[in-house]
Amino acid sequence: SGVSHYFSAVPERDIVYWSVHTAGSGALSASTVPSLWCAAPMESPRSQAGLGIKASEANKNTNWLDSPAAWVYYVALLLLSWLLVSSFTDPGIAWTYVHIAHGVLTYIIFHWVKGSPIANDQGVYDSQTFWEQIDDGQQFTPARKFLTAVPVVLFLLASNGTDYRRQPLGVNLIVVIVLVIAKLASMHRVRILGINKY
Amino acid sequence: MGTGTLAPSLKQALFAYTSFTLLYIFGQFRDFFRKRWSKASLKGYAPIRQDYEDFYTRRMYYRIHDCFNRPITGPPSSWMDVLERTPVNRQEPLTTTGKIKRCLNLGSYNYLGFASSDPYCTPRVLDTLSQHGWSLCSNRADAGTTPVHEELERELASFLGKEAALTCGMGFATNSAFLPVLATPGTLVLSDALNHSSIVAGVRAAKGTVRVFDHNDPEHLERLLRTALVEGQPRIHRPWRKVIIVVEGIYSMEGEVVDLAGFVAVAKKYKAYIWLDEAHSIGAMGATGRGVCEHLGVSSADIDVLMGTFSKSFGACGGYVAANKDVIDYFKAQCPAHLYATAMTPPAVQMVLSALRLITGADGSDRGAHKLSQLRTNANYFRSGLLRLGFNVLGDWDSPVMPVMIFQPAKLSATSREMLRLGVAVVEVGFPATPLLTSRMRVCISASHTRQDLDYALQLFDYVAERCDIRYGGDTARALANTGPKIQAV
Repeated sequence: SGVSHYFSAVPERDIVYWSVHTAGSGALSASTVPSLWCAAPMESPRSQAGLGIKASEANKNTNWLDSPAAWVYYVALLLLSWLLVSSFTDPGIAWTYVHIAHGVLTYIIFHWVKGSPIANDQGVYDSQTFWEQIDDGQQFTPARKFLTAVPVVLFLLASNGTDYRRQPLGVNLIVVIVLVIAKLASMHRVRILGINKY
Repeated sequence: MGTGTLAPSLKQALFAYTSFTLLYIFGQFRDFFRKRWSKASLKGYAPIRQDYEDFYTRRMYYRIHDCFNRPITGPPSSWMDVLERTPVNRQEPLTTTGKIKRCLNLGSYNYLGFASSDPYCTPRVLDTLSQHGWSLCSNRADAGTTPVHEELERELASFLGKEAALTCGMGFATNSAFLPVLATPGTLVLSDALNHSSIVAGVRAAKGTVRVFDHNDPEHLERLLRTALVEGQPRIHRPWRKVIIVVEGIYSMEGEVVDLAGFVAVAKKYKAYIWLDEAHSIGAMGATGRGVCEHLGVSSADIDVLMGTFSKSFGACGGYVAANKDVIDYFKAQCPAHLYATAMTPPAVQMVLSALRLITGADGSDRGAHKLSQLRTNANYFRSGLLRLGFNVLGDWDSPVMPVMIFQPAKLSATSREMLRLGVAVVEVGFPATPLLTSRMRVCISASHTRQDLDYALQLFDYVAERCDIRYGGDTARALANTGPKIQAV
C-alpha cells in the first residue's frame, strides 16, 4: 500500500516552510524540548525573506485539520452538544457546561496526549502533542487560528449566557486562559516544570 | 483528478468525520478498560510499543482486518482462488476454514497477464531454473551475476532508451536502497506528496534534505525549488550540491499519470535531476509498453534515472534502475542493495527477459502488441462502464488502475465483504495509506480479462452500489463516460 500525504485544496499561505523530514533534525528530536525559561527558537513567518513557500504537509495525524469541512464538523459538534445539554438545563448555563467540557476534552486531546496513532511514522512525533504537530509546527496558520478562536468564542457565549455573574465567570475565565496560553506560539514545545516531557 | 474527484462533498465529509469520531470514542473506551483489566506481563520492562502509536491498528484496522491480507492459492490470473477465513474476533489472528472461493481478480497488478503460465515464458523460466538453480545464494557483486542478469540489463537498457540498467532483488528496496546513494548530504530532494512509501523510506534514509510539493503540480515545485535555491541549505545557507525531483509514472492510489512534460521543463530550467518511478507504468502505458515517457511523448534522455519494478507488468519480482553508464557504475560500486543484498533469482530474471522479448515482439509473434492493446481497451472499457454506473472513479484514461471512491470508513468494509461474497477480489484502501476521508476501492485491470469478465464485474459493481450506496460520481461521471478514447467492439 502506498503512503499519501496530500489532502484537499489548501490555500497558499505566505509562510516560509522549513523541512522537517530530515532524520534527526533539531526541531523533532526529544532533546530539544526546553524548560520554561528558555523557549525553543521559533521560526517567525515574517523573518524569512523571499517568496515564503509552504511545502505539502506530510503528517497524516493532523493534515485533515486543514480542510474547512473539518472546521464545519467541529462547530456542528459543539452546537449539537449545546442543544443536547440545553434539553436538560437552562440554555444559558448550557454554554458554560459545553465550554468547560470542551475545554477539558480539547486540553487532553490537543495538549496532553503526545505522539501519533500512525505506526508508519516510526515515532517521529512521539515527543510532540497534537497541537505542536499541526501544520508541521508552523505557527499562525489558518487551522491554528481557527482552533484558538473556538474556546474564546465559547467563553463569550458562556459568559453571555450566564449574564456575567461572578461564578461561573471565574471558572470559564480560568478555562479559557489555560486553553489560550496552551495554544500560544511561544509555548511551542515548552514543558512547564518538565511536566509531560516524556 | 482525471475522471473523478478526490475530495468528498461536505455531506460525505461530515458523515465520514462522524464515523471516525465514533470509532475514536469506542477505541478509547476499550483501551481504558483494557488498561484496567489486563495484567502486566513483564514487570519493570518498558513497553515494547507505545499504546497510542498503535491505536489506529488496534482499534480501527483490527475491526475490519478480514478485508485485508486475504490469502490466495494458485496463480493470480484473471480468476483466482481466495481462501476463506474465520470471522473477526477482536485481535485474534484469522485462520483459514479450508473452503476456497473462486473470485474474479480485480486486485492484482497483473497488467499484461503474465501472472499465469505463459506458453513462451514458462518453458524458458523452467530451463533457467534447472540451469542456474533457484537462488544464487550471493549478492550481485560476489557471485550473483549470471549471463541472464547481464542479458536482461542490456535488453532493458535498450528497451528504455538508456545507456545501462541495473536490477535489484526487491522492488521496494530499489527505491529505498538506491535513492540514498544519490541523495548525499547537501542534496535537495523534491518529492511528490503522493509518492510511494518506498520513496519515502529511501528519502528518509538519505542524508539529503527533502521538501514535499503538492501532487502533480509543477508550478508549486518550481516555487519551492526557487525558494530553496535562493535560501540554500538549512542553517548554513550554502548552495545545494544537487537537486533531485522524484515523481512516479502512474500513482497507484490515484491512477493518475504524471505531468511529465511540466516537470521536465522545470528540471531543465534549474538544472535538476529527475528520478521517475515507473512501477505501475512500465509495460502498461505507451504504444509499445515503454512507459509514461512514450505515452506522453517525453524523450527518455530527459529523465536522469528511470526506475521500475518487475512485479506488475512483467509477472516476476524485483526492480531496476536505468540511467547513464557512469551513474549505473556508481551504483554498482556504492549501493548496498547491489553489494550486500541477494541477487534477483535467475528464474525471475528469465521471466522478465522473456516477457520483455514478448512485449517488443522479439519472440517473432504479435502477442505482445496484442496484450498491450488489449490492456488499454480493457482499461478504457471498464472505466467507461464504471463512470456510466455513476461511480467516482479517479485516474486518467488509458490507465489500468482505477480507484473507486468510497469516502466512508464503514463502507470500506461493507463493500469489501460484499464483493468477496459475490466473488470479486478487489483491494480496499483507507486511512492512513490514503488521506483521512478518501477511502477507496482500487480496481486493477489486466490484459487477460475478457470482455465477459468485465461485463460480469460491472453487473456486480452495480449491485454493490445499490446495496452500499457508493455512486458518488453522479451526473458528472455519467457525462464523462463517453469522453474517453474510442473502444473497438469485441
